[in-house]
Amino acid sequence: MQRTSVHRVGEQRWVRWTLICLALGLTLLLLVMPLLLIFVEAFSGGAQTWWANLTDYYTLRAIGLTLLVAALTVPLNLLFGVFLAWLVTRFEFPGRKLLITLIDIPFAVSPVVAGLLYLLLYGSNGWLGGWLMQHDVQLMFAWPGIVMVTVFVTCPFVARELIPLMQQQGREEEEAAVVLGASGWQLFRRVTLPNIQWALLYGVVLTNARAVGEFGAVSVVSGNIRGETNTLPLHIELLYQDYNAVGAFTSASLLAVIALVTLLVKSFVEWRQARQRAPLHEQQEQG
Amino acid sequence: MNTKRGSLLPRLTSHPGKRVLPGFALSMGVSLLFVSLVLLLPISGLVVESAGMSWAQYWAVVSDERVVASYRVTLWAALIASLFNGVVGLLLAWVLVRYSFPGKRVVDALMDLPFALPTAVAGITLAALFAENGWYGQWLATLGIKVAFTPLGIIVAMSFTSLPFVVRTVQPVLEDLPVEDEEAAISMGASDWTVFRRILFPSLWPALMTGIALSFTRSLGEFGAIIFIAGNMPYVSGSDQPDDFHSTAGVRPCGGQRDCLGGAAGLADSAVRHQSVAGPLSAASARTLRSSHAAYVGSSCR
Repeated sequence: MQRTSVHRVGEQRWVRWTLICLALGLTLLLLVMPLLLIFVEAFSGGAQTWWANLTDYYTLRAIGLTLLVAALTVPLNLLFGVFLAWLVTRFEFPGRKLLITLIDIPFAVSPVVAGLLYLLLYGSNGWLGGWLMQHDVQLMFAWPGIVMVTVFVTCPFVARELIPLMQQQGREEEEAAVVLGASGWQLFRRVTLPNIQWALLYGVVLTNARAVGEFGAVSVVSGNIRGETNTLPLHIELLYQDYNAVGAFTSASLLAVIALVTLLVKSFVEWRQARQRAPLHEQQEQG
Repeated sequence: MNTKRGSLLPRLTSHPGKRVLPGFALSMGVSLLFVSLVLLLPISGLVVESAGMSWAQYWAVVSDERVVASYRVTLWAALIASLFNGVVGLLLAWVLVRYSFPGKRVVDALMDLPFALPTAVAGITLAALFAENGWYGQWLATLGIKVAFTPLGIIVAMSFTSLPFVVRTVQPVLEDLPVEDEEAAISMGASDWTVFRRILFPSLWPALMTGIALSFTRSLGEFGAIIFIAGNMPYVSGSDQPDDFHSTAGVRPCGGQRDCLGGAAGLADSAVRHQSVAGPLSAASARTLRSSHAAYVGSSCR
């Protein structure tokens, strides 16, 4: 900051403002307008129509199912993410790299294929599905199937947020706590959790956003039974195909709000982490 | 092993086989159980299922005329979309890193919107924007450009859903570029454009390529957004668009994992049979079937 007279590329006034205007224009066209359109369309019939659409029986059922899916998926993946991150960042063991690669599978496999994988295994003609059928357990085309594919699709998020952070933080603090006699739970509560809480929060928010909004994988295993196995994104598709655009955008506005909350939390978490890191940098510069 | 990492307690942790931190067995157990049940079991199911398929059958599915046509549409659309994102993403990243202007934080936060927004929402939004009476569609219509239900629509959906990749890979690299080279070149009299082309761009190139590649891969795999703007709508069947567009979305996964296609043939078949068994489902789910499964195999189900 001391060297204010540095001349850098693109500092001329006209270059700067042309580029800024271009970027703002593109942001407006590509991101802001679509976002605006969702709410304009949702409220195009007035707030009362919006409310009526929202409280429609099938919409409420879809919201309920979506909440159920999120409520089951998020804690499961939170638990898995924390245990996995602890395992791969705190211990050395053969197959560690392989495990880190394995959890990226859901990102590499496209969601529809994920759905098909589950259908293949648990569908009535599937390898396990036939056996389950004999015992009157139906997983596919019912809510358990939707939860299963959602868990698959969202399982990397928490782990992916935690692993780089925990790797960077190292294990010194935790080792010191153990030497001082901390129990496992105390160690996690008092030492690890405060260090990772913001990344953990963001991981949870990402998991939740994806669980609520997943479309491809869920559409394969859902069966689209109105009021039974229709999640909110699938409900949007059905309404849209019924030419009920206002209804579709009403549900979409709900999901868009969740997306905006996700962005807010992300900005907040980044701001917190930048602030946590700032004192560290100052120390290093002094030293 | 640990001393290399500068551990505070080298003597304690360097004992091979002695782990200081608790929870190894528990976290190993939970992780392995989860990975096996959630990830490995379904994948092994695919392997078992497609093992029954001969190479000839597999090849017949993969090289089917309509499937090949859909590869072509998918690849071209993804290529154009990711190159578009390369240009736009570089510009956005540059402006966000180099300049300050009112509302910069909001713009920066908005960059992730395509990732945060569910693809179905993105799909209906883009379809409404580019419909013939939509906000963008009516302007484009006066120019004679049709986006909805054309390959252009696929490109639009692909570039929207994968836009953040380029911005977010280029941004950190641009932030960390050393000032010195730039400064030296400018003080020696090089023009801004020359400095950008000869000094800045080569350092940004790897990140830019990574971003474009990520964007391309995601575009190959995009499904939710595309089916709304490019096809699978009930009224599209009578349009002049061939079935290739329906397949576009479906064939996407095969960019990275070809073998999925092989399994998909038998898979769609079993899914169809399941539909007829599960009576109450049939009407509602036939639509899903058409939109998701049939797409994979193109005509192989007939």
